[in-house]
Amino acid sequence: MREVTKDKIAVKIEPNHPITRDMIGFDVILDGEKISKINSNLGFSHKGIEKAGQDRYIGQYLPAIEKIDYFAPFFYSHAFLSALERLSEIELPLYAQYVRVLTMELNRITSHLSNLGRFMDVLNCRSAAFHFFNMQNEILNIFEKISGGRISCNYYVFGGVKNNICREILTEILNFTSKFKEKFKILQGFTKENPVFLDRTRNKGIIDTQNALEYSITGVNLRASGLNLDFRKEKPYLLYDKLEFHAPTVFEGDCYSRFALRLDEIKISVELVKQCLDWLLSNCEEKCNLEIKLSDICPKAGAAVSFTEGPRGLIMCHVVSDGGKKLKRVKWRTPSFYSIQILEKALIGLNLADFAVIFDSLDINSSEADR
Amino acid sequence: MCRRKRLEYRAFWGEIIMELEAIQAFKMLNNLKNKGFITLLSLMAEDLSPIETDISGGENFRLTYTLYNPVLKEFKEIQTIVNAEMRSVSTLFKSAKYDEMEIYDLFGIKFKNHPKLDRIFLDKNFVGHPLRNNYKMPETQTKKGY
Repeated sequence: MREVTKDKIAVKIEPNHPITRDMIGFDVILDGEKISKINSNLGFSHKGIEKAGQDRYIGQYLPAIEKIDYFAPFFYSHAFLSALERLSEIELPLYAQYVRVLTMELNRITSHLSNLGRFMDVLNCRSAAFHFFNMQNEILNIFEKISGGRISCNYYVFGGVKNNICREILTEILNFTSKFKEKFKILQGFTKENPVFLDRTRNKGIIDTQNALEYSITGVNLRASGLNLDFRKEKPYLLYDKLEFHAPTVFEGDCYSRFALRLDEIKISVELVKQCLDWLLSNCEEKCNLEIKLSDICPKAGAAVSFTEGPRGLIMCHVVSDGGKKLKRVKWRTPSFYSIQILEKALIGLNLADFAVIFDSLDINSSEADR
Repeated sequence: MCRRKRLEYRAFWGEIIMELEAIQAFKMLNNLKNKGFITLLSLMAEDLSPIETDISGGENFRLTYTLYNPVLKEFKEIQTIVNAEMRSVSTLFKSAKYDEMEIYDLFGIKFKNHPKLDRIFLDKNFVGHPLRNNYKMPETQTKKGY
C-alpha cells in the first residue's frame, strides 16, 4: 500500500465481497480505472488438512478429504485412495473401476455446471443461471441415491466402492443422458449465442502457452491456451486408456475459450458415462464384497504419488508411510493454488470491471487453494 | 549430513528419481530447466527427524521437486536433504514462489533470494511451524487484532 500516490487508489476486495464468493481476499491498486498491482490474501479457510493426515487413522481421515474441494469430492477421495492402493499393490476389481469412472465423470459435469451457472449470475442473467443449477441438481439427486450424501458423499473405500448401484438408479442415469442433447442446446443458446456473454468474455485475460506452463497451470485452463495435456491420456489410471474420448484444445487463451471448453467437456463426460453404463447394465448383478474395516487399513512402508485429472486441473497426492496405521506425510497439489498466481499477472492493465470475469473463467475455488 | 531411517521410494509412474546434495540439486534444476523441463508440478517437504525427540528443529528435511517437460512428455523427480536452508528456485520456476512460501510457513525452511518470504496460510503472529515433528499442539492459540 506504500505505492499509493495522488493518482492511485487502493481497493480492498475482501472475503465478504460478492464477486469473490468464497473466502479469499485481494489488495488491488488502481491507476484511474485500470489495475496496476494486485496481491492475494490466502488462508481464510485453511483447514490444516495435511496436519490432520498425520494425526489420524486413515479411516478417520477419509471423510475429511472431501472438504478440500466441495465441488469435486469424488476426485479427491480417489486421488488419496489410489496412492494408497499403489503403495499396497492392490488392483481394483473391474466393477469398482467402472463405478469410479462413472461417478467421477458425473462429478465433473456438476463442477463445470456450477462454474458456468455462477458466472451467469455475475452477468445478471438470472434465468440462465437457474437452467444450469437445475441440471446440476438432477445429478446431485442421483448422488444422494447412490451414496446418501449430495455434496460430501464418502462413497469410495480402500480397494473399491462402498456398495453396488442398483438397476433403477442406472436407468435413471440413462434417462439423464438420453435427454441431455435437448437441454444442452438451451445451455449453448445462453452462452455461445448470447451477445452479452460474448461481449464480456472475448479477447479478455489472454494467457499464452509459455506463461501457462511456467505458472504450472493444468487442466481446462491449459487446454484453452493451446497445449493438449490431459492426464487421463498422459498417465492413464482406472479405465481411461480403454475408453474412447478426445479432449478438445483451443489456441486463443482468452476467457471465452475457457468457458467454451468447459461446455464441450460436459459433452465428453456424458459420452464417457454412456460407455460405462453399457458395461454396468449388463453386469449389474456382480458384487464387490468388501470386508475391510476402516480402522484396519495398514499400507506397506514406502512412498507413492497419484495423478488425477480433476475439473480444475491436475490433482497430485504424495503419501509417505512407515507401515503403521497412521501416515507419516500427506501432501496435496491443488490446482487452484497455482491459478491464483497467474490471476495476479493476467489482471494487470485491465479494468476493475473485468475482475469478476477473469476470476470466474479460471475456475478458482479458494477452499481448494487453502487446503 | 546424517540420513536417518531412509524409506524406500517407489517410482510407480516410471519417473527417474535422483538424490543429490543441496548445492548440486540447484545446479541440476537449472540445467534441466534449460533442457526444457519448464513446469514445476509440485514441491514437497518432509521432516525426517524421529518423532520421539524434542530436539529443537530437527534440521533434517527432504525436499522433492517434480518436473515436467511438455515437449518430450517426460517427468523427473529430484530429492535433496537440507538443513532448514535452501536456495530459492523462484527465479527458475515462477510457480515456485507460493510453494516456497507454503513450506516456510508450515516447516520453517528458509529459502535464500526469495522475493517475499512470509507466512501464507497462518497468521503472522502464529508461534511455531505445525508440520515439524517437534511441534506440540497448544491448548489454544487465538488470533488477536480483529
